[in-house]
Amino acid sequence: MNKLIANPEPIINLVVLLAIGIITTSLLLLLLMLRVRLHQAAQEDHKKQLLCIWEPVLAAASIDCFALQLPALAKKDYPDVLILWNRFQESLRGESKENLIILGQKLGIEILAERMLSSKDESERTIAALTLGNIGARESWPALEKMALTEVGLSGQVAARALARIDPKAASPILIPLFIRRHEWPQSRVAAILSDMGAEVITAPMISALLRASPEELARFLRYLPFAYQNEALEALRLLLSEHSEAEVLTACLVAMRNLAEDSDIAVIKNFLHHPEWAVRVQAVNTMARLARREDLPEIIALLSDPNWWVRYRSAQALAELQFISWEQLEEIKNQQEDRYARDALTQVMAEKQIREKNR
Amino acid sequence: MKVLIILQWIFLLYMLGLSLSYLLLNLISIVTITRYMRSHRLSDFLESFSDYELPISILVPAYNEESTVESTVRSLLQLSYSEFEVIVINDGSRDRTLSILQESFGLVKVPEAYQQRLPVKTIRGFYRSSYYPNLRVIDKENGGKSDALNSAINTCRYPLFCSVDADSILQRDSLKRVVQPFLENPLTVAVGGTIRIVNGSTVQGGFLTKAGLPGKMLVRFQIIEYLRAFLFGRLGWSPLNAILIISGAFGLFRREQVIEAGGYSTDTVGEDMELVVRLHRMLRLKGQPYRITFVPDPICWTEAPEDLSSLRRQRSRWQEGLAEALSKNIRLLFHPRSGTVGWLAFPFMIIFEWFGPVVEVVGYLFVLFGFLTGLVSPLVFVIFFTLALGFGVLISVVALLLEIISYRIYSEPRHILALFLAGILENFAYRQLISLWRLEGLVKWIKGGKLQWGEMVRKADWQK
Repeated sequence: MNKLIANPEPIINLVVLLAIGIITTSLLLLLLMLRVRLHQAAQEDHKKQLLCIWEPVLAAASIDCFALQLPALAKKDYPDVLILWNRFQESLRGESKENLIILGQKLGIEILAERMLSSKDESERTIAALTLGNIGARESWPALEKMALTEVGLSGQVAARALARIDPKAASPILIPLFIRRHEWPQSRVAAILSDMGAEVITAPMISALLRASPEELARFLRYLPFAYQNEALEALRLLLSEHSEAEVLTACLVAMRNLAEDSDIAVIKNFLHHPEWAVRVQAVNTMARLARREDLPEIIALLSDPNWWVRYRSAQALAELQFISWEQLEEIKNQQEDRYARDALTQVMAEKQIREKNR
Repeated sequence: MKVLIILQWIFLLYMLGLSLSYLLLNLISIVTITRYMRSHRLSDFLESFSDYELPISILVPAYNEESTVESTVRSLLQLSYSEFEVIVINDGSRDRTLSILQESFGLVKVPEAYQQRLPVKTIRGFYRSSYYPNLRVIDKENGGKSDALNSAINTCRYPLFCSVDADSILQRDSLKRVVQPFLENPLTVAVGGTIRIVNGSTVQGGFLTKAGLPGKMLVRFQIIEYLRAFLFGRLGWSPLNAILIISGAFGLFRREQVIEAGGYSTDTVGEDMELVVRLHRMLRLKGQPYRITFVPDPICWTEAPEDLSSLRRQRSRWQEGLAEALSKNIRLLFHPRSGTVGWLAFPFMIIFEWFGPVVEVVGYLFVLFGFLTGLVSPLVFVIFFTLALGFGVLISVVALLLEIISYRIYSEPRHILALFLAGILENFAYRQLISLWRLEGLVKWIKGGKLQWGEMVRKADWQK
């Protein structure tokens, strides 16, 4: 022992203790694992039993909630039944939904959810907001509004949707500016909420918010414009295109315009075919794919030789999509191109078109 | 004698540092996974508008994959996601990989004008499927996995690309899960997912239908290793935005950032890790905010080697790749702008992963030699091994606990006991053998060598 360590005793004692500690901890962890697993298995069994009882009850209640005898519900089972109740709510429509709300009132779900809304646990607050939204609990509006405005995560998103469900009209002026600010919220979820609220409610606040938004916010939020009424959306887009020069805003406007633009917009859109930013040119040519007339062809054909690959490719696609251009005409356009890149772009798009048509 | 004493202290301190770092990562992982499980339990309540999901290009590099390529592509085409394309890259296979693809998917040769933003070897042709509009195949000269991936990055259509090994088995909802960080945080540039071992499980129609434990102890040891690597190795670094590895078997990247970084490096065997480290280096040094994240859900299953020689090649190769990835991006180390990556994860990797095999092998040999020659007393010998093995067991057991509180893939008590046993037994001989093979990888890295595709004897007996 003295060979390697000058004064080994305290160190060795420490190491021995450490080793014993590690072995004991490992064994304790094994016991813990088995206990956790047994507990989980028992919980899963209990949950299955609970579902066996409550699923038929909720199914029956969605048809007729008055003649129903409710089984006893232990306090600890409330969260699971609450989740199940919400699952049913999400999958039903019309009268069945109303019947479930009446059942929820019988069970005291609203009071429970209101209590859970002030919980420290985010998942409890989320279930509470979900439930209150599905019940349509107006009394909880201030708490839900606060939650939507202050919580960034899933709970905030659920609270926002709850507001939209309780009163879409009242929620709209609160939620639309919030959606513009909350760039971290998944666009697919925000889109689902907006679609749920409906064009009637969102159009006016959306357009007024867009006209006041910063270029960065605009570029992001313009993606939701298709949920607004088309005429108003198109008017707003025309205004934005005339007032803004930032490439990101122009790109977003042109994307939104793709399915909305009318013949009267062609002249404006054509201007963007020469924009110095390639992303703008791509979107302009995409929009032209639906609107272009014969007299617009030279400008689209010229873009086949654009320095950017995407512009060349989209121009070729635009030409291939135009109804008034036959296959032979496309061939002719291709053969007329002196630029190799222009020919390559058209060759590829024509081959793609051929495969698509063969499969039809 | 003085040298020996210093060496002894180095080994002890190294062991202590490694174990404490792992335990700390474990603690971070427990908190992270508990939060993750809670928040994702309810996320499916909020419906999503699929038009607003980000479209994904799935890139499948294939070299001599005639036995698995058809089933892999079929299962990829069945993934549940709103918009995606599959691009298979036949990297000059010498077997029937391309002809199998041609026959199975009705491939038609098409001209394709693409923008070559990353330099790649000659492309022989582009093919499109007549049955599946979202399937394309690139046939190219052999240039290695990185070159194959780069050629697909040049031609892929979507802003995100997912690199998948030709033998990877995905869950039907893998893309939906792995894309979440991109939807929740626009600064995300790359996301990795948990890879699990498929041996012993049942796969039908290209999807895993029943997870099971393999009979071979060698594979069970690897299961424990994977649990350690993914459930706390990566999960622990994720909240610190300091993950340095995203497995090549399954990872999702933002295409523009990868092109900006120069694509996959073609002169390294660990192209997956090297790319992630390079992305960190590029973005940190530019001062650009970004996130590289990890999704703990088990979303990809892969076959583990069942024989020692395949395992040896794999580990030696991984170590070589790690050494290359770190040495090529050494500027990141303690750079004033490198943050948690340069000041925590990078030094950790250098000390415990890069030089780890040297210290471990020399340490074991030194103590063994010292014991045999009488320089190390029996008591010190016993203490050294008890500590080394004890910490090893403890770390494996904690990883197993993480698995049980989260995904419970191996849920039966007999599975838990079997894995616990594997967690103990792997510390005797297996771990030391792995250290030796990793050391071999380091020697290969120092010598430098020719790059080749990593080949493994595939049994695929789980496939039905």
